[in-house]
Amino acid sequence: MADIILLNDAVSTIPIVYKDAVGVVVAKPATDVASAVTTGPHAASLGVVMVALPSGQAAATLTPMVAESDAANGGGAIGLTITDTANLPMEQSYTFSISPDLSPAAIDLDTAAMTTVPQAVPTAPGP
Amino acid sequence: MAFDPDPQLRAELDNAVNILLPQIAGLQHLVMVSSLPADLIAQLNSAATSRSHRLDLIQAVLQALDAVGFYYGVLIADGYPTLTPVPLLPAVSNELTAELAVLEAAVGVFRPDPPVEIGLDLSNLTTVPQAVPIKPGP
Repeated sequence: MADIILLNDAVSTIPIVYKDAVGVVVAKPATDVASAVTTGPHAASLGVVMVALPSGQAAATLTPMVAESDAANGGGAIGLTITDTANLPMEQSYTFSISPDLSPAAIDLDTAAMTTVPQAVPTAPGP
Repeated sequence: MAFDPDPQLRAELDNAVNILLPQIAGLQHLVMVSSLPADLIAQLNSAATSRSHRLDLIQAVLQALDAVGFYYGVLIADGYPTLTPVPLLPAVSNELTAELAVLEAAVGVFRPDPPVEIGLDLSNLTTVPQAVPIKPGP
């Protein structure tokens, strides 16, 4: 499973699913309770709590606790282990990295980098 | 007044009929009364046939609209949309209840496939914004 990138300015919620022997999503056993923990050297950089979605489905809510934890600063690859009371194995392993959100959120003038070229003084007096 | 499923379409088609009828009549009249060259007569006949074909199609649509109106009236007269409960004799009701119990017993033979693994549904990941954490990381 590829490393999943989480942006540092967002809290992500991912539903928990149960699958049968052929990989089809099936109903959660009535009394089953799932839990999740982050693992690895940078586990503390990603908070995880279990929540119940309005549908009743369990979900893991992942909260970045640091501005960056990815390959660029020697972090990332934060594991997430899901366990449940029925001791079902995990479908696959998951790792997460936390990266800065570099998408533009506003536009502005870079006045510090302003340049000028001369022109003739306009004939119109103004204003 | 009978139900009309599409009064606007009916008015549009009625208007088209009123345009087509004199055109067809005029073209047919020209063919009959004129001593025109054969090729022109053929053109007049062709135009009359084309207009008549269009008229036939419009009239088919109008008849279909009439049919919808008629059967909708029949449907309303039948009590639509109300569905009244069907009265049932106690003996028959008991028999149906017994049949239902048998069916439920049969359904009870089957059990949903049990889960064998647990995972994350990444296709339904949702996010909400948060302030960028102060701690730099990693």
